Amino acid sequence: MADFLNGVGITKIYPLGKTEVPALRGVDVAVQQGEFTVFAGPSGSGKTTLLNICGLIDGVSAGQLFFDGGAVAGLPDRQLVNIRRRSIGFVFQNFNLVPVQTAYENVEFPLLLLNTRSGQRREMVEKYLKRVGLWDRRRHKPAQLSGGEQQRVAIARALVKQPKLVIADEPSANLDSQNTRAIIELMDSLNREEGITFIVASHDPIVIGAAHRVVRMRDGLIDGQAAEN
Amino acid sequence: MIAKLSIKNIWRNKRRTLITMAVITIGVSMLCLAMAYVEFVKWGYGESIIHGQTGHFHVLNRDLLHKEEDKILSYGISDWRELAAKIKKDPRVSVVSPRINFFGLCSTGEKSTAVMAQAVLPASEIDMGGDYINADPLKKLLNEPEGILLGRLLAKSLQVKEGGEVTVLTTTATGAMNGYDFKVVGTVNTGIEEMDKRFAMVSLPTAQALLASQKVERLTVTLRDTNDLNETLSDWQKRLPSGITAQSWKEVFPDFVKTMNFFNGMIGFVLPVLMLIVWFSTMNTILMSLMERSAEFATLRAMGTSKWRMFRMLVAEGAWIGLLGVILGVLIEIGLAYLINHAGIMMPAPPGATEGYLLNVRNATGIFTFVGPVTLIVVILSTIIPARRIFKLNIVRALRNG
Repeated sequence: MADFLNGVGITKIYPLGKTEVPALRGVDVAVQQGEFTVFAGPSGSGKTTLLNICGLIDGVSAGQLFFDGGAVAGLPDRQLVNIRRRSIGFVFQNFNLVPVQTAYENVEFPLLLLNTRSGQRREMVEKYLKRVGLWDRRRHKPAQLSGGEQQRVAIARALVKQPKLVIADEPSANLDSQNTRAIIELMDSLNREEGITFIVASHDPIVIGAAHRVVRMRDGLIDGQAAEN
Repeated sequence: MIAKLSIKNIWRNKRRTLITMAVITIGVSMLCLAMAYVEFVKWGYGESIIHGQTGHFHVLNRDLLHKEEDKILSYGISDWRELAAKIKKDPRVSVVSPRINFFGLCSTGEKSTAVMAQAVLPASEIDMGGDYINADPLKKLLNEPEGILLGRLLAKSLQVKEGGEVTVLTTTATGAMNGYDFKVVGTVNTGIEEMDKRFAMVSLPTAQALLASQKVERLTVTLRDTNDLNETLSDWQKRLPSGITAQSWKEVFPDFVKTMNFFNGMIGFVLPVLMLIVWFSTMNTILMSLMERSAEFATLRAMGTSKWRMFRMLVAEGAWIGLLGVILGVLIEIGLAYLINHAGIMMPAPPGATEGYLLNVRNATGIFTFVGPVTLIVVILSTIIPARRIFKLNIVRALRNG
């Protein structure tokens, strides 16, 4: 099976004053279509940096990255924006919903970016808000929702455009264990039912436990790769 | 999408938005009010000069503009009746009033003083003045062809009252001395103290007898509508007989232009000061908004929103604040203008004048179509500068810091 996402010798160096801090040191990573992959590791291990690079919101200092068969390292911003808009959904640790928009409008936003017709938009938003169990709370703004509900809205927002890849950075960091389980079950079922590829950065055992594959990282290197499920 | 989201975004920090909007609103309303006051002065002062003194334009001998007269009426108009009748036929013309201005000595027998006399046809002057002048003294002059109206302070100086007699001595058109006894029929208040000390008005036929000439110095032409001035003046400059020219009231009364330049200078000073305040206030709001929402902007960018779309959204936020501020400012100004115009506020007499005036403001469409767009442009420009930062937004860093 061809790799959906393939990173070869990925290096990321951040300048810090006059010195340079290497966050990734020539990492090779491959993710297949439909996989639920977790990048695990302690703080500073480079998992979020690798996740950001896989999500095309950060560039590489050296190395090559292939997304859905095409090389993406060094592409101009306009092209990266187009790939992200069509093919990648994001779930963030702090949910990052737009506070002035309702749950419905937050989920609808990616479809507006894709100029989806209004009828289809409504259909899709309804489908995913129902899928995350929040259709009844569609008129609520993020401040009126609990943390777990906000993260479910964020998941619906990430999935509504039916992306090829969902990037989730510490999605359970601000949730209690009950909400974490609910969120992970939701992501897991979406992964199985819709075949969407998930890459998650986390050190939460519940999240790691749900992964098809765990990529363990330490000091900017892959420590070991193990099939968990 | 941009319009909808940006209007929602401006209400995130209501207090800050309202403060910025208040700055714009106050700036717009005060600027419009100041300009409306200048417009009133321009209109009121202009119309009072036109109807009380100058008419819309003067028809006179070209030489009178460039040469000194050897004798009174040397450069007068002989066939003025025919010319006046011809001008009067123009449907845009309301009144044609002949005049002679001359200097003389006014004496009661016990006291004498120099006067600047104006000879007029009282009926024409009443028509010309309309509602802008107090026609009572002119009516008295109309009923008494050998009467004289004296400036308020001139009458006081000569210690003469209505019904009294004065003699006016002057040189005739042939250079001889002549005198005429006039009956004082009233006093006039020109509104200017220095004029009130020297001014006298007599009937034209009597003055012509005194000056031993049938000529007049000039014809004062008053139009039905001031807006027709430029076109009518231009027409008549082409149609007047050789040697005769026409002069706009602003040339006859250059102080008006100076006064307006003074007021325009004040507006020219106030405008940039207010716009500078608007500029910094809006820029501060957008800058704060950018800093506070950097994680959100990063999220939207990650989701595939282009830099240009984000930039347009920020500029739209500034534009909304500006637009609402301008609309509110205009509405408040209209309300204030109504209150001022109905409050009956008397203003003190300007320097050199003897009477105060009723404070009024005059809203003109041009004020709003100037101040509104200028303010909006300033607001949008002041938004563009901080909004450009969106092009340099580092998604990862902004997400980490947010």
